[in-house]
Amino acid sequence: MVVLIPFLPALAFTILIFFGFILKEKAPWLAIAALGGSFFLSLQTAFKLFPTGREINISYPWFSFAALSFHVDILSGWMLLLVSGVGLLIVIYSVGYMKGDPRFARFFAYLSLFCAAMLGLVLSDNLLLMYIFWELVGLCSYFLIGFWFEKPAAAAAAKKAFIFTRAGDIGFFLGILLLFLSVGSFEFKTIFAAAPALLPGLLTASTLLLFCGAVGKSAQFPLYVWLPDAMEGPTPVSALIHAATMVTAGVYMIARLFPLFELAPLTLNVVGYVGIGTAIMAGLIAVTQNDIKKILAYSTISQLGFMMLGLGAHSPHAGVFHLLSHGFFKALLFLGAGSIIHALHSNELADMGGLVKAMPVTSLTFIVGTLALSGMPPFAGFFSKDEILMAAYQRLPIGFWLALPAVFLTSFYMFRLCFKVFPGEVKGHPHESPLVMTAPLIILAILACGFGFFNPFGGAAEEEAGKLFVLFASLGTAFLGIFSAWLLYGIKIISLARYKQTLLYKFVAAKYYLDEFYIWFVGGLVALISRLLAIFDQRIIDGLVNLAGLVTQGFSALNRLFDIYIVDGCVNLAGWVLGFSGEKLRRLQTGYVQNYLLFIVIGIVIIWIIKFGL
Amino acid sequence: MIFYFLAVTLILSAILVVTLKNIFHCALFLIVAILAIAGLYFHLQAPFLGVVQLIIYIGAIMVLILFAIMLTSRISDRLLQTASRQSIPALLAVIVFILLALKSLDKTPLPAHIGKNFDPILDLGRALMTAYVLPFEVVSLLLLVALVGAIALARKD
Amino acid sequence: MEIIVLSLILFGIGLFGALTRKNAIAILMAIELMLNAVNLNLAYFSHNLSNISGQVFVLFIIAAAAAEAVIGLAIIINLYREFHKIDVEEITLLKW
Repeated sequence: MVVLIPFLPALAFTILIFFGFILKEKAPWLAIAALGGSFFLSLQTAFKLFPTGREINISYPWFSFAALSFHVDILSGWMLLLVSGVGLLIVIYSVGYMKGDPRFARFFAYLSLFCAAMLGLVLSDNLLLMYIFWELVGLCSYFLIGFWFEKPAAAAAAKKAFIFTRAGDIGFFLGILLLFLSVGSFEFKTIFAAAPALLPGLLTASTLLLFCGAVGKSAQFPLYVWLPDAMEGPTPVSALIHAATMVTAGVYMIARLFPLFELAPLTLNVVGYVGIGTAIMAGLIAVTQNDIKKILAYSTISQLGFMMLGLGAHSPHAGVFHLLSHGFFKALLFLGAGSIIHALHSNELADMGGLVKAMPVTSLTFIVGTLALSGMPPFAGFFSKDEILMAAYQRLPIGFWLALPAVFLTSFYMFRLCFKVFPGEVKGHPHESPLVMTAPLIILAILACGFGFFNPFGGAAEEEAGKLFVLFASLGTAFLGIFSAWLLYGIKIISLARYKQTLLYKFVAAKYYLDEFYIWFVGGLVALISRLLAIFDQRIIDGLVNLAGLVTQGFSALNRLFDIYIVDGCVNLAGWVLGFSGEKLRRLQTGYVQNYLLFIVIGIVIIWIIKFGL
Repeated sequence: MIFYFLAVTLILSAILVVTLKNIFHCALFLIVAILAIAGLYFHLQAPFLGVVQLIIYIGAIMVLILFAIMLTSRISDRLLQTASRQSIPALLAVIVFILLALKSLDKTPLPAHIGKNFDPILDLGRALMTAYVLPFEVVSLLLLVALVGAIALARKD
Repeated sequence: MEIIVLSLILFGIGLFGALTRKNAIAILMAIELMLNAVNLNLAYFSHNLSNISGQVFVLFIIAAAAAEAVIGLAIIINLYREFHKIDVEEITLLKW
């Protein structure tokens, strides 16, 4: 039953990729049906599991050292619901968004494949299987970012995303191998059971390597640069893959392996600080951006940083709770942005304005998403962010104090966006999107409103020390952010224009020159290593090759001599012997009949003598 | 007595057949030899064979040979060269052959003469038409083929 | 007994002739002698064993000899037309 959840979209992918050209306009219905089936099965599983807290384990034999094992507990159950639910909504939304695209059917094929891989990743109960699905979602991300590959920027962004996540995946893979070498199994349960007996250094090393994978996939510093560029893909893709699901795979992976990470406190500290550092950096960049999708992308990076902070503060439940609520409201925001882009055919904030009148549904749902992201009660973001901050306050105090500016930045840049886009004069000729696009928005808005009330892990219900302080601190900074944004962009009584000339602003607006740094440092490093390797290649490898060539040549010369004198000699000798004897023996053929007759008689006589004796 | 007379005649004429220089004379002595053999057949109580020998050999084959001799030349009047390159080896081989045969004849116990009376002509006819009817028919086919073959070979063109 | 020796001698004479004569017709005649030697032998055994089969075979051999003579002479005549001689020592087309 559970195995069917990823299998249905995979089946849809197979059909669509081969027969999509026949289905054409009907292609989405297959994807919707498959994902609907997956969602239904996920719901069924969830209803079976959540009240009792049971787990489902399924294992099929595969290799001698790894099984096809799947596992569903509350964590993966919620992830299943998120992936299949949001996936379903986004596929429905895409029907409207991608209308008229020449590769309409293929888009849905890729989406189905992505959903299948992501569901598989969520379900997998062993590192090898997880790695396979991990790479598969990366591949789908590559396909979908580069879906409009005619655009050079999209093709470049697809490559960039793939390469940067690969960079992290190398670490992930090494971590898996290290664990396998020390434990001898890929199975999570075996690893968890064996982990306490491992050397602390080994544990720290392997968990840090695993975290590398998360850094790449979940776009953390220093590998987050691919995510903003990934916005070149179609907006539904950005919503599904680069906001709600795939980028959270890293967070999910760490939460899933938390029993392991818990044993390596150093790694958890690294996770937390990298997370909050990323949150602040990305938040700062978001303030400077003028592209609606880019702002949302940096916001995603920042929120992923929050999730990492939650994990680093020993609270995987907080991290995953934020992951789930973020999945809903960020998908909502992206779909809203997609709706706006669909209407205006522009990503630039400068082209937008007064949309609240022109696109009321989109605007309202977008504002709901913004409130949820900013952590306003009673929206989902409030509860999940509060829980992260609570965990950080208790176990990672420095992280908590650093998180407050990030909270401020979050509400600031989101309301900057809102104040620029929704009120004021109508620019252009926007129109409300069709129902197929607004319906998912409404559903997601309801989820963003209500999701926070049922905390999936039933965590922080009890009274804890400092809970009120944390609550007020986060609410206060968030309101401060909204207020600043209102002052600057709402009523515009303060202008920051002169600060735009400062070095700091330029530094941030240029995204800390991180891309340039990569080009300069990594590019330079690669060039240097290449040059060294080229020298190595020319001097040593070519030398060896030439030596081998010389040896071969010498040997061949010997061979040649042997060939000419011995082999050819033998052959010629055989030929000569035959020729000579033939030359002699053919004298027997006199052509003289009586001669032959004489031979016959002599032959008879000889046989007679041999046979009977004289 | 008759037997020895016939035997001597046969051997002498046979020697003359293979040694004389004039091919025409050879043929004539071959007739003598065949007559002697026919006589031996009568002596061996095989009168039918003797008659057949006379009719076929003298009446058919010898006539054919004489015709051939006359057709193929002016050789009838030219003398043959009898000295052959392989006369001596041939003579040696033939002598060794005869000696070997005599030796094996010496070793082989010959059955005694069974003096059973039988009518040679009647029995021969019965045998040909019963036990040997198939070879008999095959022989007729052979003769037909020889006839057709001879015509085909000797035809001018 | 004497007849066996006689036929053996006759066969030897025929063989010698077949090996040494140069004229193709003479060779044919020598072969006739050999055939007759065999026939004589068969007739003798037929008489000695009172078995008629020997005579039957003599008849068959005479028929075969007739066929052989016919074909042989036809070939000789053809040879003569071609080479204007029937000397086997000079007709050695099957030489090396």
